[in-house]
Amino acid sequence: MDTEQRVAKARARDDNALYELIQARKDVLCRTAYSYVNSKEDALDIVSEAVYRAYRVRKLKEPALFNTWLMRIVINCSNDHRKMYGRFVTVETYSEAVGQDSVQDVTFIDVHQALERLDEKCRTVIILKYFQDLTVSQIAEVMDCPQGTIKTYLHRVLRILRLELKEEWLNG
Amino acid sequence: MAEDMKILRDQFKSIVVPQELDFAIEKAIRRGKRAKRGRMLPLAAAVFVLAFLLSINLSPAFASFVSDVPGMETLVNFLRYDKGLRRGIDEGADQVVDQTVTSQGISLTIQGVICDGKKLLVGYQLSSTTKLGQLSPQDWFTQEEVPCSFFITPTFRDVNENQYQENLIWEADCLSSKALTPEPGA
Repeated sequence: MDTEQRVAKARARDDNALYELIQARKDVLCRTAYSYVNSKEDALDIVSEAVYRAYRVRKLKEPALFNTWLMRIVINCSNDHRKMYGRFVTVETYSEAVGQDSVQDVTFIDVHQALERLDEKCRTVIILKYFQDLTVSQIAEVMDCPQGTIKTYLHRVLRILRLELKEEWLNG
Repeated sequence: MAEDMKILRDQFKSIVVPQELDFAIEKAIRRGKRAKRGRMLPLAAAVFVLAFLLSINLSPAFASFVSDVPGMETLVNFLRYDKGLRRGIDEGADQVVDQTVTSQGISLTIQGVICDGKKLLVGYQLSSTTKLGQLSPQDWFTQEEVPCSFFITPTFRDVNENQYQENLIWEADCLSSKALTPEPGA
């Protein structure tokens, strides 16, 4: 049974179909939530809330866009969570998730710290583009805006990051 | 820069997904199922209340039926939309008639009349030395041609041991001019 058939069944209130669809995407959803909040517990809360919203709403016109829609819910939940609790990132929180080796890498921490200073939209663009490695058109679908807008965000984000990272390296 | 960014992708993939994730998903679906059931309840309640309000206001028969249930009378009077006229009586805006006829030991006093474009209310009092039976204003009309519906709020009161009194409001829908001029005769 392929994804589109499952989506059709899920829309017809088939709980198992929806469950299987979520299962197939749970890792990337959880990692995305983690990228926003940098905490295991909070990431789990976000995924839980997102699944709950997905279960209740199930408004989806295009079956092909199911995964995009699910990702959008996780992103919205993550942003809501950040607005409610805020998050200060420490080096320790990274090592918890990705292991010591990665934390040794200066870029990783620098990017994450720069990410904290970005606004909601720019942060989402970075996570989708560089963490999840999506194309501009895929990002446009997830964020529900034209590709040109995404390109504008990307340019702006890269300009900010270049400035910030250069400064960090100079200071370091 | 672009090379540095590739590291981010690998690091994203290396984020360890916690074991508890499955549990969190199942918990969310259980919560969703509960919420779905809960959503229907307020809807059902709203439909029921609406049906009750409509029935009470549109059907005097239903209203008087519900009034018979002890304690419901106040509720019915509260929910009925015709409070305006009744308040008129309370505030003395009715036309005082105060005429009494006595027949076979029963005296009927028409205390006052008030009406608007829709309804006519006649406040009357029945008093008798014997226990009052079911007397309906319908009985007063020899010609059964008056289009009216009745909603009677009796307040039984024992004045003394062998005197019974009943304060009533007779309500008629003034849908035709005929009902506007009822001439009750005991």
